[in-house]
Amino acid sequence: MSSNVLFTAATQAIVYNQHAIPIQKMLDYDWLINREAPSVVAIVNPNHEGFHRCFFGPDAITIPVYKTIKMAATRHQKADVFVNFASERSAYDASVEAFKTETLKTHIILAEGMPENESRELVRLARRNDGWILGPSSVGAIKAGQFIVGNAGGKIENIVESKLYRPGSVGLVAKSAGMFNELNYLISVYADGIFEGAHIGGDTYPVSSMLDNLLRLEYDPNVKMLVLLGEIGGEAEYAVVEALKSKRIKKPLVAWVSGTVASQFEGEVQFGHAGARSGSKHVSAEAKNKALADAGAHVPESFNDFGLLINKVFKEFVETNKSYEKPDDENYNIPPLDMREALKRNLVRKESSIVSSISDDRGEEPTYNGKDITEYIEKPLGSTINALWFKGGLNMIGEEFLELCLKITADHGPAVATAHNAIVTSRANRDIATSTAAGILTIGDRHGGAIDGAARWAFDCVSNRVTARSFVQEMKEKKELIMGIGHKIKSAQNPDKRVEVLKKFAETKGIAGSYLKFALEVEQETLKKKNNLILNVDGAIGVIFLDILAKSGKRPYEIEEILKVGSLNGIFILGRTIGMIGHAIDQKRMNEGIYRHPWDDIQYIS
Amino acid sequence: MAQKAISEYVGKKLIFHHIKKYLPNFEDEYQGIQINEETLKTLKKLPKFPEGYVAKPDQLFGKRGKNKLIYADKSGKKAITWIKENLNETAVVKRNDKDKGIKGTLTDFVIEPFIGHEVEFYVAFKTIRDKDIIYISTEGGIEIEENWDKVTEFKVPFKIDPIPLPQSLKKNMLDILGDEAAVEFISALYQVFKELNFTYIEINPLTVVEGHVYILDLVARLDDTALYKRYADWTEPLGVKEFHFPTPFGKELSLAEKKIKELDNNSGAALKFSLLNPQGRVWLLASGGGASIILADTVGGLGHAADLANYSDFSGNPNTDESAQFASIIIQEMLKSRAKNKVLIIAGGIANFTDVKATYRGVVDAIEQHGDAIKSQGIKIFVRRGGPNYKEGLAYVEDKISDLEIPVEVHGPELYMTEIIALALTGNKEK
Repeated sequence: MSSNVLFTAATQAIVYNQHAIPIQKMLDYDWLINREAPSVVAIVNPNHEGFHRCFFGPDAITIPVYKTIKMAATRHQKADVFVNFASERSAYDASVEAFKTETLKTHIILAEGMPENESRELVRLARRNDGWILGPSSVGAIKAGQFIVGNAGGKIENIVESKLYRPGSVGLVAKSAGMFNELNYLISVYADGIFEGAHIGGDTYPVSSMLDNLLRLEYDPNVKMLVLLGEIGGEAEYAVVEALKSKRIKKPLVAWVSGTVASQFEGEVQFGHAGARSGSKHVSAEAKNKALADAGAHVPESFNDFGLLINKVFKEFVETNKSYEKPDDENYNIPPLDMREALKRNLVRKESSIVSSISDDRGEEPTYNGKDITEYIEKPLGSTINALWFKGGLNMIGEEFLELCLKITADHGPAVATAHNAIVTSRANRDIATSTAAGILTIGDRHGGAIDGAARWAFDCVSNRVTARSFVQEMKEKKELIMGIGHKIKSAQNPDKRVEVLKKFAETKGIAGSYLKFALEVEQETLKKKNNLILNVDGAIGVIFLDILAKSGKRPYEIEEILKVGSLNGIFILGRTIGMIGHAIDQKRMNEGIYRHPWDDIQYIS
Repeated sequence: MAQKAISEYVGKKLIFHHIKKYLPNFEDEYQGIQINEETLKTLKKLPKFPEGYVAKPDQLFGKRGKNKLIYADKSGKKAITWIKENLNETAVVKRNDKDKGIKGTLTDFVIEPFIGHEVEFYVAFKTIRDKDIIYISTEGGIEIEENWDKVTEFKVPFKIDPIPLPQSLKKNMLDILGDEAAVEFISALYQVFKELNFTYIEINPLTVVEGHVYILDLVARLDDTALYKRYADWTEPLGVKEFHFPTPFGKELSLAEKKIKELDNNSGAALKFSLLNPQGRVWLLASGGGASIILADTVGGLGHAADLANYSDFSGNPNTDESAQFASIIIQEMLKSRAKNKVLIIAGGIANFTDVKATYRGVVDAIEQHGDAIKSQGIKIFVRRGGPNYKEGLAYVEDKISDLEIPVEVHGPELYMTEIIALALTGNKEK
C-alpha cells in the first residue's frame, strides 16, 4: 500500500451517509485543534442532495451533500479521505465506487458485519489502487492535533482529557474499539500521548492489517514508540513477530494480546478435523504474547501492568533523547456545546415554544391524556375523543353520545355544501386531503357550525332564567337568526329523523334536562312563525350536550370553558369528514372529470 | 463471529444442490436423512440403500469412529434403533487419548447410504487474507493428521468472483490424484465454496466409485455475515424458511444464557453472557468487546481464575431497558451462587459513544429490583467506567446503590481499568 502518511492537518474528507453526530464531532475536533477550515468538505447521501447544516465552532455552516460519490469527488478533488459510514450491506459497494474516483485513496469503513470475501476483495482493490483502508468495523483513526475520523476518541471532553488535541510520541494500533479509546487515555497518562492511533477493527480480515499499520507508524519519524493491543484468535500477531525478528520493526513495541481467559471456556474452541492443523493453542493469547516477547516486544505479565510498562519504555526514550521536548498542553479551543447537550447537563435553560397537555409520544408507548394508547384500544372510540378533546371530562354517556353524533352527522348526501365542495375539488383532480379540506371550509354558522351557537343561547338563557318567549322576541327585535333553529327542507310536519334519534337517546338515557326542555320551548315559539323553524341537528346536539355536562356534575364555569373555545363544532367537523372523504374517493373511483357549472343554471345580470 | 460451523447434513445438501451449476453432467442427489426427536416422529420408512446404512451424530464434532459413535451395517431398521438408543444420551467426545474430552447431549443424527470404496482422498479449502488455500491428498481417512506430510497445498490468489481453478492447477491435481472425476468435482466445489461464502470445507474422505463422487465425511463453515446475501441459496436446498447455525456440541446454553442471547438477537447493541462457574465469587457486568475480555483475563491473571463466575459484555449503546434486563438476568444468577464474599464488578473502558448514564441507569434499576437479596447476601459492588456522560452516570450509580445500603465503590477513568478487579478481589487499594 501507498504512502505512510494517511492524514495531515490539511486532510479533506468526504463522508458517506449523512450521520450528523460523527460529522459534527469531526468538525468540533477541527475547531478544538485550531484548524483553519473544516476537515469534512462534502457528504454523500444517495437519497438526498443539498446542504447539511452543522457548526464550526460557534458558527453555523453548511456542507454540500451529493447523491453520488463520483459527484462529490469531482467537485472536491483535494479530498483524499473517504469516511465510509455505509451499512454492512452497502459499505463494500461504496468503497469500490470510491476507488474508481482515483482521488479517494484512504478509506475508513465503520460498518460491522461485512462478509469476509468483501473485505478480502478490498485488500486486493486497495493494493491495486494504491490505497489504504482501515476497517471494516473500525471506529476510526486519530492523528493527534491534525485529523480525526468519526466517533474515535469519544466526546470532546475525553479528547481533551486524553490530550488528543496535540501530538505525542506514541503510535497505537488496536483491534478493540472500546480499548482504543481507553488506550488513548492510558498513553496520555503513562507516556506523552499518541502521535497517531489506528483502530483496525476486530474482523478476521481487516483490510489493512495489524502489521501494515504498525509498519506505517514505524516509518513515520515522528513516532518514537509503538503500542499494540491484539486479541486471541487469528495469525495477525505472528506477522508482527516476523517483522520484529527481521528488524522491519525497530522501534520499541509494547504489546499485549488479550484473551488469556479463554482457557476457561470449556468447549468453546471449535474442534474437529484439520482446524486442529491451525492449532488452537497457536492462536491463544498466551502463545502470541510469548511469541511477541521472544521476538523482542515488551510484553507485560498481565494487562494490569501494561501502563507501567509503557511508562518504562517511554522514560527510556526520553532519557536517551536529550532533544525531547514536552508537547504543549495548553493550545486548544473547546467548541461551544450544542443546545441539546447543554440542556441535558442543566447548563442553560430555555423556554418552550409549544405547550401540550393532551398527549405524549416520547415514551415507549404513546399516551392520550396520560394513559397508554392500548387502554383506548379496549374501549369505544368515544373515549379516545373524550381524552383528546375534553381531557377525559365526559362520563360514559357523554362518550356514547359523541359516537352517536358522529354516526348521525357523517354524511347528508352530495348536495350539501361540505359534500359538494369535496366533490368539485376531487373532480378537479386534487388529492383526498385537499378535497376534504375544501369541504371543511364551508362549515360555519350556516352549515354544521351552529352547535356551539345553539348551546350558547340555551346556556345563557337557562342560567339567566330568560323565558323562551322573551328570548325569541328579543332575537326577532335584533333581527338575528337563532342558531340551531330552522331547516331548509324539514318542517314540523316532516320532522328530521336525526333529531328524533337524538331526542330519544336523551330520554332513554335519562339525561334530558333543562337545556333540551328550554330548546323545545323555543321551538314551540318559532314554529308559531314558520313551520320549518324546527330544532335542527346542530341545535339538538348542542343542547343535549349541555344536559350531559350538567348531569355529569360539571360546574357552570367548566361548561363555559368548553363553550368559549367552540369545542362542540368539532363534533360536526369530525363526523362530516367521514362523508367528505367518502365523496372524494367516490368521484375518483368513478373517474369523474372536471365539474363545470352549466350556464343555464346561472343568472347573468349586469 | 463471522465463521460459523454448519452440520454435515446441511453442508452436503448445499454442495450437492449448487455444484450442478458448475458440473453440468453431475446428477447425483444427496441421500442423507436428518434424524432428531422431531423427524423421528414423522419418519415412515427409510429408502432402500443397497449396500447398507451409516448412522452418526451430526453435531459439529469429528472423530466419531474413534469415539465409537458410528453405526454401519446392512439394516436400516437397526440404524434407527441405534439412533434411538443414543438419542438424548450424554457422550464424552475426545480428540485424542490425552484429551479430557467434551461432554454433551446427542440430539442430532444423520443416516446415509453405506458406500463401499477403495480410494480415500482428502480435500480441504480454507481462506487466508489474500489467498484461498486448497489441500489435497490421496491418503485421506482417519489418519490424516499423521499423514499430513503427504498432503499437497495449492494457493490460489483471492478474487471475489467464483471463477474456476486455472487449468494448470487442475493438471497438477490430476497428476497427484490420478482421477479426473475427482478433480472436476474439486474444481466445481471450489466455485461453490466461493459463491456461497463458505470459509472452510474439509472432506475426509472423498471417494470415487465407478465415476461417481461421494463425500463421506464433511466439516464446513459459512460466513454468517453473508446471510442477507445468500439467504435464498442457503435455505432453498433445505426447504426451510430460516437458516440456523447449530450450537457446538457441549455448548448447550443455560436458561440465563439463552435469555441473554435472545435479548442480543433483538437488539442493535451487543449483549453477551457466558456462565463459567455458577458457584463463582466474582461476577462481571462488563462493557466493551475488548475491555470485557481484558477484565475477565485480569481475574485469572491475578490468580483468581477459579473464582470467576462469568464473562459478559454489554456495549454498542444499549438502551436503559435492555441494560436493565441484561443486568437483572446476571444478578439473578449471582444470587444463586453459594460462594462467600461475592463481588459484582460493573466496569468497562472509556466508551466511544455508549451513553454511560443511560446504560448504568438500567443497571441500577436491576440492582434496585434485587436490592434486598444483594444486601442480605453481603455482596459488594465495584464500578469503573468512562465515556459519554460518565460523571452523571457514575454519580447516579453511587447515590442509588448507597441508598440501598449496599457497599459500593465507584471510579471513573482516572483509575487504571483493571485496577478495579484488583480492588474488588482484595477489597483494598494496593497500587
